[in-house]
Amino acid sequence: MEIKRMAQSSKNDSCIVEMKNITKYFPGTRALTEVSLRLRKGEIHALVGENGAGKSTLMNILTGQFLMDEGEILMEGKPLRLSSPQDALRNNIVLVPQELNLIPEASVTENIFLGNEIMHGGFINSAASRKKAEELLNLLNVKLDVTAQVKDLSAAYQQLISIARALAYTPKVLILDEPTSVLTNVESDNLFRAMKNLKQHGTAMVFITHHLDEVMEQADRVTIMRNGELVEEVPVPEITKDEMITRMAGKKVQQLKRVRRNVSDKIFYEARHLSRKGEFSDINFCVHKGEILCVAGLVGAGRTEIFKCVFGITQSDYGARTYVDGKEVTVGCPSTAIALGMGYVAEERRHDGITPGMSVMENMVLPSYGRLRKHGLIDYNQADSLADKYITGMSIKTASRDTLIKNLSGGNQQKVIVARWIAKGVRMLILDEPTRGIDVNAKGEIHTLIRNLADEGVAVIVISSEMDEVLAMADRIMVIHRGRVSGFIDDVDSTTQEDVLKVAFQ
Amino acid sequence: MNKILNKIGKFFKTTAGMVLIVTLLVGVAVQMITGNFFSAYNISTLTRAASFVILVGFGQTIVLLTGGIDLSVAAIGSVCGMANAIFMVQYGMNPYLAILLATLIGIPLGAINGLFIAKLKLTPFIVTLATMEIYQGFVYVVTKGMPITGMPDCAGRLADGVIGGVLPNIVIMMIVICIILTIMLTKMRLGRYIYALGGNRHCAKIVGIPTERIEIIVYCLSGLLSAFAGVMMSCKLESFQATIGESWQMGSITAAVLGGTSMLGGFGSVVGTIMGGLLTGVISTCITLLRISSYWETIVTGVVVLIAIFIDAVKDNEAFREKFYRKFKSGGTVDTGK
Repeated sequence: MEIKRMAQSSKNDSCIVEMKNITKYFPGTRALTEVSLRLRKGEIHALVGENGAGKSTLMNILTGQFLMDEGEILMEGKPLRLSSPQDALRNNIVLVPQELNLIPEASVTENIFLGNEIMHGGFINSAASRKKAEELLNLLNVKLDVTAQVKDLSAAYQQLISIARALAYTPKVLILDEPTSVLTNVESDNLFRAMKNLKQHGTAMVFITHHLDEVMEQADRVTIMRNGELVEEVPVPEITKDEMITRMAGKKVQQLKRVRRNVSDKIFYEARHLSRKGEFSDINFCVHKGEILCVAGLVGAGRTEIFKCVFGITQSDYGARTYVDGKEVTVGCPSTAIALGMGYVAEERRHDGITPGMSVMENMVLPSYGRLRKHGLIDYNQADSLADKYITGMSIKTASRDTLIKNLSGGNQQKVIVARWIAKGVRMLILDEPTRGIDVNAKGEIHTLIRNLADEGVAVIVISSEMDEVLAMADRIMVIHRGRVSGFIDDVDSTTQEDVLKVAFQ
Repeated sequence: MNKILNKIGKFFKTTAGMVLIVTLLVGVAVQMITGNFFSAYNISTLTRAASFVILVGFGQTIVLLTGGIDLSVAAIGSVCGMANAIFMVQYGMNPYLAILLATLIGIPLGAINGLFIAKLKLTPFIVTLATMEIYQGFVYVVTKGMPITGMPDCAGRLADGVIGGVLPNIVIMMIVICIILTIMLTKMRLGRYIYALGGNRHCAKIVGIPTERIEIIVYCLSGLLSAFAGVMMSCKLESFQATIGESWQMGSITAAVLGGTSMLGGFGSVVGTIMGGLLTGVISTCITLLRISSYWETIVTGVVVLIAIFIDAVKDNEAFREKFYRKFKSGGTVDTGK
């Protein structure tokens, strides 16, 4: 293996695709400035950078979604002209997008060959399609019934089917955008084995990820981008994780630091015997005023479902009891939860969090309209000044409060949603994966926000899959495994990631 | 002052503003050809005729804003128009009381739509399609297809009257309702909740908006406005026929969509619906003035709708623009050929 890698790196001209000095302008801004990317045959090439560093723009150019303004692309030494996504596919450059876009009602085979059907005399050749689908999945070490409907499969399988769909185009270059974000560790390992397999077949892979550990373990080389510029291209063994972070951020960013906090012993919320058939059973926990309770566990353990139920989006089965401030309450819908002083920041920001066509201001004050009224009409002066207060106070980057929220970056959208609940004046805030897909600096800012909120006496619940986040934030950790509480960790200071995992699997 | 000018400038950049410009241009062109478009008689007839479909369009717009659709508007108008005629003719009720009661019947009829859609989570298209058939059928069962005639004159004067020979009463009513609805939609919590519901239903739930209640209210409003249009139409004709407002369901959707209301919810305004309704009204008047066979009317309207939504799609859709930009660009400068 070592010898092979050395042999590859000595042959510098074995680039399969070379993007040279690519520049791309968008109205009003320059998104890319003379960025170059070299992909060699049979390598896993990580592409890292903060959100907005230009990774997606660069990949959109390579897959023919955008036209570049300056620069050139060479494929196997010859200039390549990409003026549409079809051009890229014809040249065997294939993208596996971050968002799964499979058709849930269709079968595995139909999804794999969507838009790329195996035809025979004007009809789809189903038998040949099924056989080929099995072959492609075999390449990924996956065995499953190719006639099954996709909606019955787990997110991990769906991710693998997306990759199989890409493989149907016999890619020379395969771009994987955040492929592990929905996967558990075991599933990720399976994906990495599949990637190694493709490597043997000579496929060049671009691996976009926020998880730098994965870069260190899986990638051969890494290209680091910042603010639409190329920072560096290095072989992975020659760089450390910390160096990568420093170069991505441009300045030395703070490591997630643990802060000791004092927590009141007054309980704000308590749940007993929460159950939902097929999702979770007999969940008992409480959260104190001013406490940050982190909820750890594997993806799919039922964490999101539990807190959807706490917030009244779904209903618990019979027998559950919940208490706020010691008084028994029944939370039948989100508006009841809100009236009791709860707020909820959903996992899927686009799906559940923002109303994309509304302004930053409106997204922020939506739950507070009730008290922003004068003579029955909305008092927009008051609403505007409220929005301005939080835009400044939380340093939300937006052109103005009237900008549509969809034009903000993910991190800033998230801040608006958190501000929404602070403006409402909540006493308990549930945050589900609050920093997923958000760059390192914005992450730190959101952590500070959460801590400040807890310092003011708000009970905070953070559901997170990122162990370092959990260990940095938590006053107490609740670990969920397969729909049950598998334990609480009170002494977080002397806890390691392994300890949490041990509780999760015990 | 500047602020107002700014707002006017902004209005002309919206779909509604552009539709208004097109409407005026069509009017000017027909004026130059026939010389009688901008006459007091023509304008008052045109706006009076358009007002009915615009009133129904208001209700349709509010429903579309939440991401729904109401196909039963014409049928509700018909039921309430019939009730109005029966109250006045058979029961000899005071005309104003009859108008009020008949209009209020629209609320429960809309509520039936709303309950099925909000509580049972049924598809608005199917629910209102079914109630449309039921309400319309009810009218035929009661009237056996016969007209009801002999309504008092004062009803006709109210709905068909024209102030000073230019300004029809119904137009004034339509404008007053538009102002009330605009204030409701932009300045009241209910209005903002309607937009939020159409903009992202999941988010609306999570921020505590009573989505079911809002949805029921919206169909009630649509029912109320359709009922008012139906009642006014029967007053205007001083009689009732089962065919009253037949074209309202599609006409109201056309007016709303031409005025910039999104079929997916979350975008649009009732002012836009006035513009959309006027444009279709102007087209139909122009066809008459130009002595073109009236059979062409629906064809022209259809073409105008297609053009309008096409322009709108290009204006607001980045992917579309990029596509045009790409065509333009790859035709010329890029020179990397394979």
